[in-house]
Amino acid sequence: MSSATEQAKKEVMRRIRRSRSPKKVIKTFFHYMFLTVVTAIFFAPIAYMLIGSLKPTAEVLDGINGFVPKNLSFNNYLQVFATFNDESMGFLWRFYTNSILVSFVIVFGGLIVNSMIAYALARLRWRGRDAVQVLVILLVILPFEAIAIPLFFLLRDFRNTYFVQFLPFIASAFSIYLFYTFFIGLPLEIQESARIDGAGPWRIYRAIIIPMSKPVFASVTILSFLGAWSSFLFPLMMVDNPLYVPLPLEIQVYFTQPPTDWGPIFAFGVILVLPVMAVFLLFQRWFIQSVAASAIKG
Amino acid sequence: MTNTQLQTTVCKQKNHIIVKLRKVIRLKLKKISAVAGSIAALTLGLGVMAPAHASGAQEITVWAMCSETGEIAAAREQVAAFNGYYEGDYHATLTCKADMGTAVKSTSVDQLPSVFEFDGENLAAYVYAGKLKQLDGLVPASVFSNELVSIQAEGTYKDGHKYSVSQYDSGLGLYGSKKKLAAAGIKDVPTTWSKAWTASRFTQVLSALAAKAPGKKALDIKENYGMGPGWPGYAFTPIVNSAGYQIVTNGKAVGSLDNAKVVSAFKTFASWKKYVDPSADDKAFENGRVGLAWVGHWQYPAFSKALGKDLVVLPLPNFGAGTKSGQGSHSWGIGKNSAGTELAAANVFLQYIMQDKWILNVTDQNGAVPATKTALNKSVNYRKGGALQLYADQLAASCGTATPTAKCVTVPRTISAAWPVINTAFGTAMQTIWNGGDAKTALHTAAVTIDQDNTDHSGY
Amino acid sequence: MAKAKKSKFGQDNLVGVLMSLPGLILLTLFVIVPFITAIYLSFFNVDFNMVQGPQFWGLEQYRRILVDPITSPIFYKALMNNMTFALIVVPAQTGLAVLLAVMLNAKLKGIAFFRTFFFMPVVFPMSLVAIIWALMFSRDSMGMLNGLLNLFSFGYIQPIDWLGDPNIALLSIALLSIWAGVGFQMVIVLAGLQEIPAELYEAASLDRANFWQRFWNVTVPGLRNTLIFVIIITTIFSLRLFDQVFILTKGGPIDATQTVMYQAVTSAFIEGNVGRASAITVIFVLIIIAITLLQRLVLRQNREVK
Repeated sequence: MSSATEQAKKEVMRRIRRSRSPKKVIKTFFHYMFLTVVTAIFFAPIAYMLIGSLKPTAEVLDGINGFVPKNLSFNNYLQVFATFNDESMGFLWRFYTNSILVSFVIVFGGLIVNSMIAYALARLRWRGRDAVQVLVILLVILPFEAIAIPLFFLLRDFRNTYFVQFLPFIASAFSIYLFYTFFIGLPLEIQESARIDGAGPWRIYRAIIIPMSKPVFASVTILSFLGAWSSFLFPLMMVDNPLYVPLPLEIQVYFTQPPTDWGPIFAFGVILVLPVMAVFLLFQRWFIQSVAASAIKG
Repeated sequence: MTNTQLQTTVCKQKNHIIVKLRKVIRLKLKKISAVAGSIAALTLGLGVMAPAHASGAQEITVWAMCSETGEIAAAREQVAAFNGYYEGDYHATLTCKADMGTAVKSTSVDQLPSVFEFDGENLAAYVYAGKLKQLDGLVPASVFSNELVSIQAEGTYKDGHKYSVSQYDSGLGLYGSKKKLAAAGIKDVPTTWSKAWTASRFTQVLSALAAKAPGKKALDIKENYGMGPGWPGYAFTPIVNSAGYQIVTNGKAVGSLDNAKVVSAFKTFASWKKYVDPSADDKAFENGRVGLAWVGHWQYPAFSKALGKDLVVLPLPNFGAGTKSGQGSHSWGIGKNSAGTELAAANVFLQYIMQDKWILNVTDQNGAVPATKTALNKSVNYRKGGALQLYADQLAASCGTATPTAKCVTVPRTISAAWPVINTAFGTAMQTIWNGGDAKTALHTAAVTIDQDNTDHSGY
Repeated sequence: MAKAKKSKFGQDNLVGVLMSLPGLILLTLFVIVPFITAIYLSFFNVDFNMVQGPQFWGLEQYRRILVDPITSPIFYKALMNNMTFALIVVPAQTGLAVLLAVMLNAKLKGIAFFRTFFFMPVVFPMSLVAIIWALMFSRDSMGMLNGLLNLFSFGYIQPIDWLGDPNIALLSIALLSIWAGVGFQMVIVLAGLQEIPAELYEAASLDRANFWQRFWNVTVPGLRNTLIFVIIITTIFSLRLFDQVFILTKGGPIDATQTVMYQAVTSAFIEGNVGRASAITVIFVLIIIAITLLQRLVLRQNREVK
């Protein structure tokens, strides 16, 4: 009986959904209207940057005319290339490689280090495990800002190096937590049977856990990349040699140097963000899933 | 006594712990850095980066401030010329620092460059922190004696020794529109510092100008530069000095900065707010909304372009002890640990850039006052009869670090290691006063803050 | 007993310790040690270059930050700004995130396209966001935002000094922060929405519940855990506020955008007062812990009441 009512309900719902009543059409129209307007608002600053990067500086700051694509050229980009092309100011490609290198080490080092400790916490029994678990949970809420200044004070002899930019960021309580919650949710049976077959924990980790955990590895990769690529406060304290400066810091440096040429600054911004935007558009689904997975609920 | 001694020993031990901790971390990091370094080298092929100068020339590193495009261009030209001139003997490598204050502060002495450029106001702080090399006995005395007296004062620490040379100085005063002043019926326009308007006369002038102005405003004090820490430390310290005081007298700010005469001067200054255009577009004066502007030499090109022959340069108003003016600009010094041939090369570099040719090269690009007497005489704007002779005259009448009197004009920003704190405290007070706060309370708060910091540092 | 315990760990013990060692060492070196250093330094008068060596000061730094009539107001001002910022951003950003997520959680064509744009600012580093908005916020009629307001108000709204007016500056910073951050929250909420069983909506529809009734009786309770998470991270984010302020306003005008982190950084890097900076850091952490606990407590109680 009850399944019959269910069937009936579903049928009704289907009809409701399919019906193309005028009210429904208007509703859909307004739905799209709303989304379009909000999209326009969200995209406006980005569009402004893209258009501004191609316009002469004098025409960038001109009220809403800033959106009008007029007198477009790549001159601003050429100026950026020309400005950052010697040892005193740094090299554009160097800012890039600095950012890439530092982010790369943070992300891949982090994947290894954090997934290992998370696995040990989730699946192995060892002395001190409970204490470390509590420690990691406590550290999750501690933001980097809280330790930035003492960290600077301890590491100030290593300013203007690469390792000082990535080493403190490899281990991350947050990444450990993400791995941990994922590993805890994996079915135990496969591991147990592997264990009976004589596989040690290390082998289980490499041969079973890692292949089963691609989603969480992807999430952690993307989340820690976003953090590493945007890093500002610590490089601000630690790096001022143009040869070691990462991109997000350099754009601030460029911005503060008078005269403030908006065209080239926007061109620099586009150069900075375009590759990441491209990666984002290509792997959009992954980005969004990773962010969704970052929510620690409860 | 014993208690304090005990405390000191405890502190010393604790200090050791910090040092040790840092050493341990340093060791660990050195190992890791070796690995990281090789990764970096592999990834980037960094080997290519190091420029090879196989000629056996003495290498020196030079840090320059990247504040203005013109200045950095000049720095590049100088370094290139230096490298060309001394090819085979010396070779300088130039690095730009966007925030030189933080760079010098954060860098330990052994990592400082051979030569660096810095904001002159920070000289004392750097000497105190042991970052600057004493220059007398190194740079020939003739170089110093050729500097403007104001610059000599700025480069001298409280121990009486020289620690820096400067290529240029700055000028601060009023700019006026002759037509607007005449239209307001003002005939006593002072063009030499000895004839500066008194503060009460200045109030009348402002009132008369404002009455004729369409927007009822008379003065631009570059509020848009920010009334908080920074601009006031340079532009409005002369109000303190013109009341006859320094911010700090004999190590104490209480009784000096919050003195009744200074308080009264700031009350007068705050009372002018109704005549002041906020200058949000930075162009209140050029666009003709006001007849007077309180700003430095760097505005001269823009103003003279906008007003042409109508432009007149005046001294700041006199708050009792004669008109006073700010001064000071970028300086060059040598890293404390420079030694041997590196030191010799650094010394040669300083002397090289102190040639009139290079000084004028910079000042042509940034419009500043050439900081040597000989270069000043070659400058079209600043030499006798030049449009900005007033600034040169003001700088020649330097008060040094003595109590300001009516006989001198320019006062260097407080030459004290506490300057960053003083600058912040004074700027905060200025902001409060400008926004209608009580001048006495604001200046007293600043003075207490400054004195507290001084005590914390055992008088620096 | 001891023996039994040992065998409980078994062969995993060594591997477990070894596998967690790299992470533990790094966390200790770069998180725990610095934090302990901060606590330690906060009891001293330490200047940036350690010219005169640290002097033990006990609680003097804390007294100056929290009690002293001359030096404490600025800290409270900064804390108030952080709180105000949180009071603006948390409801506005969470509300907007929910609104956008609800609008995107519809079976319409091209939804993914819109989602892309809402999410896009998330991949922008905050320094770049701040710089783009510096220009958007340009104060006179040449400014982009002023131009837009003028256009849509038919010339009624006069140019606003977004970053220069003490009454508006913090709001402007909040605006750009919301723009940059809402996409992140939206995606989390969207994931939460998709976990709400469709049957609940269908049942509500059959009961002739309108949109708002469905929203309040189905959506909001279904999102509860997600919203708790979003509110907590947005609050902590508000307390961490630094990059935007550093780039755009440097704490001004008239301290209108001073924040706790900005105070900590300027104490160390401008005034050279590492002791004070450390003490602020410690207070900052205590506040974060307190807020996290408080929020959890309040929200948990609510849950129990329900």
